[in-house]
Amino acid sequence: MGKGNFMHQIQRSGEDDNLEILTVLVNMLAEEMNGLISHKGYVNPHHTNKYLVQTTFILNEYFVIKSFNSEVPVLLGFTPEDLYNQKFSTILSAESLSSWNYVKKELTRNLNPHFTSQLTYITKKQLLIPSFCTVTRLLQNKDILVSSVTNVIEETILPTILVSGIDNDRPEGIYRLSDIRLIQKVYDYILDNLDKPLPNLTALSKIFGTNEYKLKYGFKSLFKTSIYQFYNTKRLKKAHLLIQETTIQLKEIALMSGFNTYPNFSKAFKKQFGYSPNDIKRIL
Amino acid sequence: MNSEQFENEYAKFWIKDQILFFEYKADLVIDLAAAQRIVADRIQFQHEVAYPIFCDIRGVVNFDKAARDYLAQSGSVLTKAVGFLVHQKVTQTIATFYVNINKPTVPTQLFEDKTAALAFLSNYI
Repeated sequence: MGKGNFMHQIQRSGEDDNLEILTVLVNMLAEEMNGLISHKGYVNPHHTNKYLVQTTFILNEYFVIKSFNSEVPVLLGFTPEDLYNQKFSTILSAESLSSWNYVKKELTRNLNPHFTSQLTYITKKQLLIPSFCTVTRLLQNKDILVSSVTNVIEETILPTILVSGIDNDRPEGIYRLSDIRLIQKVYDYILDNLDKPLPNLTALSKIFGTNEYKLKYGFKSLFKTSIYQFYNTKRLKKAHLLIQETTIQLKEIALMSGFNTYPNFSKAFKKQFGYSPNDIKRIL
Repeated sequence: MNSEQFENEYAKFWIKDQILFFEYKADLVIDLAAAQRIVADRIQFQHEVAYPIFCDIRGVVNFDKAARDYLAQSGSVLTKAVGFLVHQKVTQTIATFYVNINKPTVPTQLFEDKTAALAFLSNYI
């Protein structure tokens, strides 16, 4: 982790002692840091990012490893010789085995299947890497392709991400810790108040005791979006969830999402998602 | 005033005296898919009424980051306040981390004692 590698998780022992408390804290810290570093930012956006494809395995029809790309030995810590002709299940954690068995069963039944599954790799050092995997049977022969998506922090890139104050081509932005904390507070405040209209920039700067310029440009620089755009996107997404999952009347949802009238809500919704609130299939 | 109980693969829940009681099953690891399912079922069960929630998480082994973030935001819909019941130190640690870092949008506190939790939640009925 000192090298900036936050992908791994320590296995839990199942005890309830101080060591386990530390394990759990380290794991949660690693998860949060993973989200932060890959975002190349200094703030916690309270959401989890999607990852990039990075490892590929080719298995034979008996789910034995035939080959893999060059990242795999680096990621898992095994030598290529350790991996060839091993069953794929040997590099999965105990918890993932039931999911993997399900995938295997479905693949042997189906002719042209394509599956995604959350699996967890286990490295040579017994650390866990949760990964989102796509498993497909290749068309021409009986081989199986397993692609998985995880973050990789390459050591050559790392120093420029974490270094502070020595960065030469820094974009314009705010870098004082107190300012960053302030912008984080604004972000959290907006998330907490999606059901009300957004205060204008002047009001916000009064609430947070800062100037409008700092708010506007600081937010944009850290979160890559304007304050209003962020507020609007989040409240519409929340409305979308409410429409899908509840039977609350649309008019009520509009009000709960900080809109004054239903037509305003409907227009904004359609602009954001390309379809109107009415078009969503609801629970009866 | 008891009403019907709902059960899915992750938890049982029921409403009593205007509080929603939520009891996670044993040995659970909650990921994003589980969290989404739990929230969806809970919202449906509540029939558009918001409740304070008594949440017994003693059975949960872990919540991953995606689940924690989801529960903190979308999981706070139709919720007035949340009181967690925890006994193990490890679960306390996870729940404390959740409250401080993932920042749920409704008042959330931890309790080792059910009576204390209910007293806290009764302020939000």
